[in-house]
Amino acid sequence: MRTKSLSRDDVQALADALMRRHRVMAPVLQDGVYRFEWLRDDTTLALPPGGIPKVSMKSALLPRTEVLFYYKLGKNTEATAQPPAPAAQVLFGVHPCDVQAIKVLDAVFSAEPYPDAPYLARREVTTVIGLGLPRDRTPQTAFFERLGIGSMDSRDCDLFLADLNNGRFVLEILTDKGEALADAIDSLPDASEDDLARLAELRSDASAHVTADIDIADLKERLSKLFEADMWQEVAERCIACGACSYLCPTCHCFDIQDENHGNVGCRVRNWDTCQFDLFTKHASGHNPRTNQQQRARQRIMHKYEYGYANFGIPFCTGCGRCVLSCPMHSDIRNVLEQIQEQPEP
Amino acid sequence: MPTEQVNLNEIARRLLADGTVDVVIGYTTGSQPLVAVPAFVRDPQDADTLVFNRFCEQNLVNYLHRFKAKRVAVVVKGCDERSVIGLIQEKQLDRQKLVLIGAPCAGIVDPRLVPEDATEEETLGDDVMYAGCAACAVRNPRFADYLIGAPVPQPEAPEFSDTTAELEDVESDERWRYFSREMRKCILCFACRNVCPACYCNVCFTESSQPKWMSKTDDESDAMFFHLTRLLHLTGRCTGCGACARACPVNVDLRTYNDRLRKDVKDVFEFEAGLDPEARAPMTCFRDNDKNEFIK
Amino acid sequence: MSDPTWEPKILAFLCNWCSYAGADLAGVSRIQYPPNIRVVRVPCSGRVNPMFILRALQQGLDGVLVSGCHPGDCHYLTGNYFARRRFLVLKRLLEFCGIEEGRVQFSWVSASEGQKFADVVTEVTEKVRELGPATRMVKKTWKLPPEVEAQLRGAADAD
Repeated sequence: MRTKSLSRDDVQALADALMRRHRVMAPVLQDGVYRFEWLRDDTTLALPPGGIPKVSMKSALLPRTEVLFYYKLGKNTEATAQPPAPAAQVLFGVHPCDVQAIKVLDAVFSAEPYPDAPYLARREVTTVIGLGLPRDRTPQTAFFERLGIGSMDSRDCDLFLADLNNGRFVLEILTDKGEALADAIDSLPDASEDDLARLAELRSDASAHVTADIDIADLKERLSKLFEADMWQEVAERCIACGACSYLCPTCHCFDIQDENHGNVGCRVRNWDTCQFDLFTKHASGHNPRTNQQQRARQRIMHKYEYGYANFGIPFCTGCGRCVLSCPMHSDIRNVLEQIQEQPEP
Repeated sequence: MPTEQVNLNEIARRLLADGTVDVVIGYTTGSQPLVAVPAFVRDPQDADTLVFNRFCEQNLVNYLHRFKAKRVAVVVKGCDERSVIGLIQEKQLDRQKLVLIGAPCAGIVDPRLVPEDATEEETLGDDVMYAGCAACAVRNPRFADYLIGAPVPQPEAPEFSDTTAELEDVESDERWRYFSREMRKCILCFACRNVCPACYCNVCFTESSQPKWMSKTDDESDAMFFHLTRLLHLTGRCTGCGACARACPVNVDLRTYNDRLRKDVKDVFEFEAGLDPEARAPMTCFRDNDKNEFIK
Repeated sequence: MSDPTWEPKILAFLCNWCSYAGADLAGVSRIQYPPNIRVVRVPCSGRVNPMFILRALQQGLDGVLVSGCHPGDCHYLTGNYFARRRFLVLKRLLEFCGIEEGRVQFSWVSASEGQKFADVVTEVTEKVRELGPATRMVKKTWKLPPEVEAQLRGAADAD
């Protein structure tokens, strides 16, 4: 495995170099909020101290709005056209919990018998540069270690950029896709002995703190018996049913399909949607199978910790903590998980 | 006769124990520092979980829409109380079913302004308050049944956002740049709408599919459509409580626009929402001599 | 890249009882006025939902005119009084957000004011022409990328 050493300035320079042949999505700081955004010539990279920008990189794989096809309408006929193919893209600085979130999206959108062509086309041209941090910089709201993910975990990354917490970084090139970025990387010096030693030390410390104490299989079993439980009333009571948690969540992937019309041309798009909105489950007849917030709050938890695991073998939560950070009422999903474990057997 | 001053936990316990109310809606300590969370206390024994401090930012009046059939006690700051007055005027709340527990408030801490290594004293300083709090004109609730603290001083303060005033003085190009920039941040999560006590339509225009008033694409014009329409629906009803701006996960500057709306309503219709229970809401009435010069 | 053939496209909401009738009178009297308006007849200026105006701007219309009965003459007695308050707030808000002054305009035109209608339309059209094509708040989602435009050119035209 090739490894390179970088200074903090080299990190920005690397992002700039990658922009020559790719679209690059990286964390930036905008009005006090760290967000994954497409870098432009004038954008400065800003890695958040805790490694987890509030707005995730989800939109690079599942855009907030994605055109499915364009159309033109005649009196009796219609013609359609595909949108241009996605350009090669690099996701720069993706925390290990977010890399595992990409795995969730991969599982959902490649599932047979209906693999999702637009998602897979984007995924195919995406190179993931993970971001590792010493574990003591983990934000208080994040709990990925309880789900078996470490802050220096380079699983499923094409490259891995480890922050050594002393102004220096190590870049590991892990896959063929990673090697394909050679023109931007080759000029960097090979990783020094000191840097590699420090990385090993930090990595060992990070692994030691992976408690993996949230037993997903157990949660799934418990949840499968809690559909009618009273606890959902309490969970929903504080919730105001906005979309902040779903939209910032790196694994939430539900969408709505709409037509955007302009005279006789237009496009069919899919937009982010959330099970927390009333309209989400409304039928054309006007009937809505979920009429109150208890049902919607229950749905979100079930989808994350029961159905996801039951159908795909992985939980639909990677402990990034964005929902905890962004909830206007400061609900904490960790409390909900505790409550689930404290429920008596029905 | 001045409003009775009580201890929060005792009054909550009393109101529940003697059956005056079914639930007390207040604040309690949450899982994160610097922010309290809403609490719904039904058992007198849980009354001790209630707190009131400078981290109690949510406007709890928002929850009253869900409890119309119940008798409810709610902890209100001066800003929240304005929402109560507004909702009573709109016949959404029955004052007889409400017990208002007033909390004099010297300002709420904005966690984004507090440095990581701040001491406790530093989190109580005026320089870490929300900007809206520094401009507050109603620090002491005026219609509460009980007060849980001594009244706090009410300093003179500019009532509307500085940015509102600044933008009024610049060219339309620059105003457009600022507005676009803010709208591009918006992800249409509707947290602002959902925390607002004045937004209570059963079917919001954004959730209507027959007719479909609004698209929810990532085009900035959709965010503009949403925010402009919501603002127009809030004309004469927005009290400036600031809950929307605090709720926004991506820090869209809502305050500048809500304040402009409130300023216009004050200048043109001489009305401020939620202050005078007898005043008539400006969009429900008209005068013969209303401003007409802008119409050809 | 300015298009020398560009003509302002203006949506005009005219109340049935006064302004629409006034427009009819202008037509019957053969009074010439610019052909840039597209008329939507509404029962009353008070029926005009601000969302119509916002949608018009999103769809790329260069200007919007809303015209109703003079205060005191509303067929429904009070519709235009409420509209007046609503439009004032809308106009001030739009301008504060940076929509150019003059894109969205209002008038009171009675059924007997054929000449006034023509004059209002002329004034509004010239102002919008001066402002140029609308670009702010115009939705771009349906803008066909060049390769798609090439592909769809001529398609579905046969009928």
